[in-house]
This record gives sequence, C-alpha cells and structure tokens, in this order.
Amino acid sequence: MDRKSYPDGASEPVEQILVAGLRNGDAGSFEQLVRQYGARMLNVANRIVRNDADAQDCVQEAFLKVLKNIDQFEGRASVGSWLHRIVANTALMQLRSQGRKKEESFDELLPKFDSDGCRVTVYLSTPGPSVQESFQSLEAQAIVRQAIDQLHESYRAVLIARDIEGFDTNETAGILGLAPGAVKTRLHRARAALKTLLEPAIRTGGI
Amino acid sequence: MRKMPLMITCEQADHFIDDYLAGDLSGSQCRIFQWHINLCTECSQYLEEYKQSIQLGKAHFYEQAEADRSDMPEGIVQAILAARSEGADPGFDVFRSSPPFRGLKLANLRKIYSKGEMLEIDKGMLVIEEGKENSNLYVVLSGEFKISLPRGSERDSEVELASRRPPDCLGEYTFIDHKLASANVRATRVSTLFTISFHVLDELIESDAELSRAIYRNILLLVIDRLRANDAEIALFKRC
Repeated sequence: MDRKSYPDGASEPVEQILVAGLRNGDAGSFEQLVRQYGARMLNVANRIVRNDADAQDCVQEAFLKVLKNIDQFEGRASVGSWLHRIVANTALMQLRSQGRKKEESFDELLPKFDSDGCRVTVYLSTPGPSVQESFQSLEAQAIVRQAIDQLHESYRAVLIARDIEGFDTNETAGILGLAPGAVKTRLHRARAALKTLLEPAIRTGGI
Repeated sequence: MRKMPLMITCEQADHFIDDYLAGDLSGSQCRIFQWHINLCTECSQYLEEYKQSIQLGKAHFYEQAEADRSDMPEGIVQAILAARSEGADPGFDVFRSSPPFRGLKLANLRKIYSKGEMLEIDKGMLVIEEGKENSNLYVVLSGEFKISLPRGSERDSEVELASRRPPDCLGEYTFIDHKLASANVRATRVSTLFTISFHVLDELIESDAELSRAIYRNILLLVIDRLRANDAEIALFKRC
C-alpha cells in the first residue's frame, strides 16, 4: 500500500467537510475519521512494529496527534496520506523506544570483496521450490515481506523509514534517534542484505 | 573483474551506490562510478538487482497486510474515542513528555497517570526539604520551582542551584538512591504537580521488566544530561 494510493482527498468536498469538522473539534468528525481510516492505519502500524498491542497504541496515539495538529494540515495531500505518515512516524518511534538490543552480525548477507577489492559473487541457496515457479502477486509480496522482516530491527527500521516511507536522512535520524551518518550506513547495509535475500527469487523470475 | 588503471575497485564502487541512486554524486564522481559499472559485469548486475530490491520493498511492504485485515475491531475504535477526551487533558500531555516517562507506551502512561494525584501548590510552599525523607516523584505540570541549598550551619546564605518548569520532574534522585533529600524545592509561583509515591511506582514497574528498563534508562539519560550541562558550565568557568 503506497501512500500515493490514498485518494487525492483534500480537494474532495467530503474530505474538506471532514477536515473542517476536525478543526472545529466535532466529535462526529473524529469518529468518522477513526472508522474510515482506522483499519488501514492499524495495518500500517502492525507491519512496522509487528505486535498487535504496540500497533494499537501507535494508532491511538496517531489519531490524537491528528486532532492536536489538524491546524497544520495544509491539504496538499489527502488526509489518508497525512495520517499514514503520522502513524508510520509514531510506529518507528515506538521501535526506537523499545531500546537497543544487541545486534547480531549479518555479514553473510553483505557483499564480499577479495583482497584486490573485486566483488566476489556468492549465491545463497535457493529458498524452497516455490520461488522456482511462476509467482502469483500475493506470493511475491510474501517473499518481499519475509525478506524485510528478516533484517535486524535497527536496519529494518531505517529501511522502512527511508525506502518505504520516504523520510529523508535527517528526518529518519530524528525519528530513530541516530546520527545522519549512521542512517546512511545502516541503509546501505539494509539494502545490501535485502538484495541478497531477494536475489534467488529475482534471478529465477520468482518476482 | 580485471581492473584497469585509474579505475575504482568494486569495493570502492559499492560505497558510491546509494549516493549514485540518490543523484548525490558530483559529475566527475558519477562518471567514475558509471565507468566501473559499464566495464564490470558483476557490479552492473549487482546494481540492477539492488535497485530492483528497493523497488520490490516499496511495492510490497504493505500490500499483504492490507489484505490481512479489513476492519477495525470495535474495541479499539471505542478506546480511541475515549482517549480523545483524555487527550484534552493538558496535564496528561505534560506528564507524558516529562523525562522519566518520555517514550513510554500509551497504556503504561495511562496506568501510571491513573495511580498518581494532582497537587495545587501555593507560591512559596516547600515541596521537598533538604535532609528530610522524600517518598514521591513529581512532574511539574504548571508553574515553577526553585532548587536551593538553604541557609544553615554550613552556609551563610541560601544557594540557588536550578529551577524546574514543565515538564521537568522532581525527586528523581531520591527515587533512585532512597537517601535524604539533598536540596530544598520550593514553588516560586502558584503551580501544579503530578505526584506518584515511590512505593506505587515501584509496584507498577516491578511487574513489567520492559517498563522498568525504560523508566530507569530515561532517568539515567536525564542525569547524564545534567552532568554534561554541569561539565559545560565548569569548562566555561575554567576559560574565564
């Protein structure tokens, strides 16, 4: 679900009424917002934090942030896109607040170079027979999701923030409490690891 | 790949990939990178698959999740609607941004907030007294407090140490070390405090290792911030 897939709502009369209601503190408008977008936002939070209770916390917090900051909503994007960004931001912050766990090495997923600095191509064993077959879309999605979820949490968080949510380096650094340099390093390693994990499926035309 | 004179290695090219994709390389850097990619089959394929992986991540990260669930449980809807009225409580907003409680999960914040009390404090009232026992952690919700060492046998006059405003906390040192208070804390104007007894807070966090870790870490960070600020102040005096 790309943020771009939300309707161009802000320009739509229905959404303008919704936003006006929120600005006026109308309880009915808030309930409409929650019912209209709640499930999608719960999906977004769940994908990031991967825990029902934490995801519910994030969504609840995000809706309250919307209420508090509705005057800053400029209407350039739809309410859905705006809400998505707030939920993603809140969920990523949640990952950060879970504390720093000891990271295991995932060097086996990173590119290898010989003593002359030349790339050494290492093929991972092809995971299962299913990737050899022609994929239905849902299977391709599952492979990608599993690959991203295999990344260590702090790398996964950077990848989600930068590549999936489109936060820039400084925004990501602020959300995750990292130095911008660390965001760049982790993004490179996360992308390289993801590439390694997806490589068998890409090469066999599974995706 | 056989390396030609003046050509960067695959390893060096690898360091440029993200800046290349972001369009952040200078003209000459970009030419050097592209020269390598044009001549190196391994890196060329690597770059192509690297780009594909990023695209695949973007395209598929959420799609399955959306198909997984189509409606919002009514209980969560009601919880959010109920939270709206809590959200209107400015005291809760200040409380949750206070250093010891920053970044805690909403459910934990609510639990702690519900176990505490609000105190209206008159100007001049002493909340914590040097040398006396203190058994509460406070969050300044409004107003201001002065921390000082009072005039006494060891001092000719009162020594002002610091002031605390929303969303600062008070009593965090004694929460950790259980010693007698090391300074006076007095309201400099009419103020509001959130207060929770150490005993109640201990009970809440003892049953939840994650909550306990988060609060102790927050207090440690607060103390580190104060140490750093003191170091900076000392350094300033040394320069004078």
